[in-house]
Amino acid sequence: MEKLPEEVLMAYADGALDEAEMRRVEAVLAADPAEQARLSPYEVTRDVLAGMFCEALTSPVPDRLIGTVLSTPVGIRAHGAQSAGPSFMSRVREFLFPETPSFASAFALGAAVFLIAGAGWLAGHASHPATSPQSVIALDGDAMYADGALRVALDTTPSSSAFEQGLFKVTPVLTFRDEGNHLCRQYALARAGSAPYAGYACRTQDGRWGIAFHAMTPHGPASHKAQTGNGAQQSQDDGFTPAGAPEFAALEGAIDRSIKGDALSGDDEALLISNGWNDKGQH
Amino acid sequence: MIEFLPRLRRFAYALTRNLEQADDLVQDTCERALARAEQWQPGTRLDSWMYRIAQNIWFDTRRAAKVRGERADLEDIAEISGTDGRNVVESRLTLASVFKEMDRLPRDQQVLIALVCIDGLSYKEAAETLQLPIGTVMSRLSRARQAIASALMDTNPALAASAPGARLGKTS
Repeated sequence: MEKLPEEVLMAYADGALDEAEMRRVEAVLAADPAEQARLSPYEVTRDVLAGMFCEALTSPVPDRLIGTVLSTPVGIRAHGAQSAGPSFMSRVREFLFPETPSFASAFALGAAVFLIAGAGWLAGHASHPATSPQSVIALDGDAMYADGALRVALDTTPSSSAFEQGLFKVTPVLTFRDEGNHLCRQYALARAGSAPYAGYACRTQDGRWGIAFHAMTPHGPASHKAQTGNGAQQSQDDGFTPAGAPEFAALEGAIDRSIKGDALSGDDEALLISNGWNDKGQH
Repeated sequence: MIEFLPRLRRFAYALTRNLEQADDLVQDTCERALARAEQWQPGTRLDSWMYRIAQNIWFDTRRAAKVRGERADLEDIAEISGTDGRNVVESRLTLASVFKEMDRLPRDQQVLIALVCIDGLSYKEAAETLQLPIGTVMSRLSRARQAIASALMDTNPALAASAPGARLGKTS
């Protein structure tokens, strides 16, 4: 009787053999019950272990984790890791999205990649447009868009005013044009029982707000002054106090790099809100 | 490939056997990976590289914890295992026996179990991740699985009976 090597038995149990090899092993097993019994450790471990630790896939991911993952790449860029930064991130992007060679150029890429990875969790592993009342970010293919309360706030709420819906409180901070002449808005987002987030989103041609940056901002009594890079408005929202945090510096840096000219005046912004962001200056 | 970070999280959970520690590990892994972006070899798999980072951080952490005299408590394990209706493993005892057996395994074998049996990598992908020959990966993995299976079947003989090949008697 042929005695099969352990590795071959294991590979057979795992379905990792090629067809010819599989048939050969099957023949040996069929002819010899003792050989067949040797399969059981591999079958048991395969079946039992595959079902273990599933909570890691199905349980909610803590906000602090999402926030760190989202904000870290940008932090690195903001601190000037020029040598590795962009090329590394573009490789990360290729790795995450091998089928999409180019990315919407309106987005600040440093943030986008891990942001999107996080959104997979936020949106419940969605790989297609996903929305829910609890969601403020919709994932569509490889891009992310403001949704729910965030979308409404960016559409309708003047800067420095808060918009509240359900668990969410969104405060647009300022409106500006980026280098591509897209209209962009910085925002602060607070969710009941969770750390606040800050970010900015830019208007796309099809009238959505593409998320360019979105990261958790640590909050605490020690920091009170929110100040943006261009001397623009401050967020007076008391639930959002990001001054000095590296994540906020990263957001400032991202806006600094993409902003064209100054932030829009309140009047310009009010006009855009009243005409539904119908912007003659945008391509 | 959007699902990679959840997969990393599951890998971390399999190594730490504790969801909170797993999240800390994923966080540390992402931070370290991004801080050391220049060390990543273009043309190699990013997920393999990040699995390696996670593994190194975890075993460093554990070594430090051992020095401080901390150790995982089996009662904690029973507590955190919880119940998940979808799990094949329903008995906490069964789960605890897997955890205990995994603790006894050499590092490489623990990592292999996490990569292949839990995260579902192929032998070849695991070999790339650990930078080992595929033959080495397969022989170590088979030893690890024999050890875990033996612990499992001792704890829960029903498992042995449920495996088709096992009705004919367990060979040792």
